[in-house]
Amino acid sequence: MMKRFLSLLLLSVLVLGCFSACGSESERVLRVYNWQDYIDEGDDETPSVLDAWAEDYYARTGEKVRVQYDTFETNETMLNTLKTGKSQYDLVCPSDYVIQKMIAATENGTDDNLALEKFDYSKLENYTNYASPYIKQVFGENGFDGYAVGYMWGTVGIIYNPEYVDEEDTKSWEIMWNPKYQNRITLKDSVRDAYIPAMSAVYREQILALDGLGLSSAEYRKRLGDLMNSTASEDIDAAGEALKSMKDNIYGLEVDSGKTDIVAGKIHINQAWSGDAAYAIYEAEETAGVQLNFSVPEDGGSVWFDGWVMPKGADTELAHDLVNYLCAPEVAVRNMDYIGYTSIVAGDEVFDYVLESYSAEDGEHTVDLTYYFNGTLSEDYYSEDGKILVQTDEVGRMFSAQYPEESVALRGFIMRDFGNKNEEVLTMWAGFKSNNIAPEILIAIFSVIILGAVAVFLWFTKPKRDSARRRKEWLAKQK
Amino acid sequence: MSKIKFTRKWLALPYALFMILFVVIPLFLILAYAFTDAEGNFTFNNLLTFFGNGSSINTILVSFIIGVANTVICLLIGYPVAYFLAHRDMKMPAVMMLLFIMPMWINFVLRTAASRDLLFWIGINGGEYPYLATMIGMVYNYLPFVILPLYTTMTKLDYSQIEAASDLGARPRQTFTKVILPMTAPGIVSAATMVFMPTMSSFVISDVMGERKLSLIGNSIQLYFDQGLWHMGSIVAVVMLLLIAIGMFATKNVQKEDDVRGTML
Amino acid sequence: MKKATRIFARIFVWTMLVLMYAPILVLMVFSFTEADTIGVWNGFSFGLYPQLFQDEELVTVVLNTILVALASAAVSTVLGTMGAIGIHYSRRRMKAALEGVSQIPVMNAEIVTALSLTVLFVYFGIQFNFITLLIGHVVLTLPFVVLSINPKLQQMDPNIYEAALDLGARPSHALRRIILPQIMPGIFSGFLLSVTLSLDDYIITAFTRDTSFSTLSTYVYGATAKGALPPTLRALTTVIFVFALVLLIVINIRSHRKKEAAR
Repeated sequence: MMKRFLSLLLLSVLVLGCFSACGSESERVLRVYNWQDYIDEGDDETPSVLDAWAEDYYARTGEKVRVQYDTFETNETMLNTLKTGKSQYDLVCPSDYVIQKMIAATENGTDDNLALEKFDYSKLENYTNYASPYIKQVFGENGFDGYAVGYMWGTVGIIYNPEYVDEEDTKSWEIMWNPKYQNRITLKDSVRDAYIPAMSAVYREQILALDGLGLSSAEYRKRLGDLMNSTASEDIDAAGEALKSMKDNIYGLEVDSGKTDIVAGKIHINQAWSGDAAYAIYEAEETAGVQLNFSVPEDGGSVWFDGWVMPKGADTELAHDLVNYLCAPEVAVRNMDYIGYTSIVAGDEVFDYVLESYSAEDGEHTVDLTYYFNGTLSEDYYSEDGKILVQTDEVGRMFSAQYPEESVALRGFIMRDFGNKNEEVLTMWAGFKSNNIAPEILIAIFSVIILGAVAVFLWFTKPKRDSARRRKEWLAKQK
Repeated sequence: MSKIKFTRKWLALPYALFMILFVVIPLFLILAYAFTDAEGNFTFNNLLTFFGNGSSINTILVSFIIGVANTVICLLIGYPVAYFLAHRDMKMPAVMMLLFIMPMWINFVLRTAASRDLLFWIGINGGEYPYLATMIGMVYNYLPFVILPLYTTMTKLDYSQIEAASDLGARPRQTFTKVILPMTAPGIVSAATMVFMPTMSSFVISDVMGERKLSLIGNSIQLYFDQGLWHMGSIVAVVMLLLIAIGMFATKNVQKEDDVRGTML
Repeated sequence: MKKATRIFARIFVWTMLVLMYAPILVLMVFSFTEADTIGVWNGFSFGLYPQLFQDEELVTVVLNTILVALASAAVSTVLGTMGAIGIHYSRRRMKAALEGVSQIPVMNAEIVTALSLTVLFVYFGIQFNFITLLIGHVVLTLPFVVLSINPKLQQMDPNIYEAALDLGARPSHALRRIILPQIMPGIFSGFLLSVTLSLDDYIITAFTRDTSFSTLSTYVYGATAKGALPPTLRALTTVIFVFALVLLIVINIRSHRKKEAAR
């Protein structure tokens, strides 16, 4: 018995020993931290994009590299991992407002764990040549230049099932409160995304009034952004109230299940990032024969970007090489095809992919994508008046999820970091996440429980108290 | 040669060091985090923020109510099961007992997700009935923890006393309330402590079963921690610790069975 | 029991058993069809089982889980055995203090334990890796090893050890030959208990692991956030269940035989 037990012990120690030994190979490792399902992971025949890059790098330099690839589900999880110094990474893929936070941390020296290295654009030939002019402009506007290189982008909107949902209703975020769709709606379990419908509810009138002011799109997105990103204390409170009143109308909050749940028919409306929408629309049609549509509400249209950053201490040489590789149009097409999100890269191959996927000879809509592809394509793609056009039937569906029309893209606001109001917003969020039960009811139930407990206690101790009393009486009599 | 005489008590040294380093010191760190701000200055602000907003009180009350409900339901189901299993008329009690423990060998998250999918299939979805679904998930997960200590207590019951009671003319209900119930009280208390506190502090079951629509103390700690508000998360953890301490104090006078998990094998 | 009560007792116990097993049984039944979700039957097929064993990620995850469980149980058993013996022979005040500290992780909420460990590691700037995860699991399981050895130590006859010393045995020798064999059943059940606790743990794992290291719990939790359980997990459930069942039967037959032999 003892011998067998000891050998079992020894075995596990050996396995442990192997584990630490196996980990100590002296191979050059690039550590990448990316969103879940956010890159082409290959299949039985084709290697993943990362493996393909490692092979390519070996062919070019003769040096073997290995990619350690980890994933996260929310920006906050990722931030926490970095903040705690839990793990060290060379390349991370945060969203716009997080990039903003990290740049602030770098420049003010407030948090070493969030500080970034700078990119050298001369080593990013593909980015300089093929990144969409629209993306470059927005990155410049937001001060991301140097610190972040774009990866994917899109809008925040609503996937809906047109069989159950009126298209008219999807043009406003009010749909989240619409009792017609009670228990058929999901909201993202992320304070940053939930803030969009909430602030839209707070400022709906002012937002709709912006239309009549004759603003340029640059002015419009600035003014819209100021309203939607407001962190004045009374606005935070109002957003909290708005969300609370939404809670009983929605099915639930989700991190990643919305796109599968809507395909399965569990829900009919899902607040979604455009890339998930493209994925869900495709899946629904392929596997279930169900049509789904995508809409970006007009009262608070939001545009987002995810970009690569290099945390301080990263292997910048390898990181530059991989980022440049990911910016090659043919690689961008691979990723887009696999994950459904839209790469920030333009160029001939990407446009070919768009035509191949969405173009229809006698399509009823003609969409102008000049704003996005201009300057990255060879001459044959331009129409006579110098425009880049796609004729398609897919407007309002996958195509709009992948390439929003110019008006949507240019008027969409970008989420900003809450800055020093972060804690206040999160307290509001914690309030929303707590339970929608009136305090009076809670206190009533609580009192009943306490009374019940006291009653049980008294009942159990009654015999003891009785006998004590009798003994006292008896003693008194004896005296 | 070593001058210090080897005695057996020195064997506890590595154990003691480990426990101090990884159990005691971390708790003090939590305490320190709970009463400091981001710059490391001493402050009561976290505590004030915590009790200053209704959502924390709401979360604590709901956790308390769900904790009590789960404990009561588990006892109402588990007590008769344990009683019947321990009764002399039951055939193969050990095998039956093992059958009740077997589901615990399947991974806890897997079990919870399985019950969510099953409930959804039969129409009790977490979106429309978040509290009902969460309660079912809780009872499902904690029932074995109630049956085990109760069963252990009941197998030690002195049946001659029960027979004596009925021989002396006690009606079955009297026998139960005056004899059996008091004799099994320690088992009830230890079962209750195994269920009540873990229920209040769980967050996996409520997240998975309730479509993230309800919040217990565990969810609250997890939320603050996930959002990087460690000092707030720590103050909730300290409140939880206080509740545990109160619970331990309240039950300390009742002689308890060995830990349930200890009797599992 | 009266006959009516007896029938009621049977029905009640079996109903509860069926309810307890319902979610697992449903998964197991639907592991023999390749439908996306439970409730849909796409014809009988063993297809999920080869898929399960070809899913490299899932296989790694299962191996990781077993590795953590064995390693942490091994460390806990060694530390805990030494600790239990040491505590048993400590003087009264020391004994009370150590026993009190042992109670903390048992009574504490798991999320508080997990949070406190994370805070500790971050405070001292320690990178999260396999060792931090291991420490987390040892904290979780160690007290239970001590708890399961304690009763055996109390049942032990203290005179045998003294006699061995009187007869000239070195203390270490006496420890190995006299004390250890007597508490071996406690050590063994402590080890098994540690393994079970570690296999089942989600919270401590989620907090103390390196992000690239997944165990079954964290993997399944990630999967639940994406919708219904993926089909391969249904096959995995069946495999785990059958494995546990066989293990239980073997253990029971052996202990039964031992009892017979003891008679």
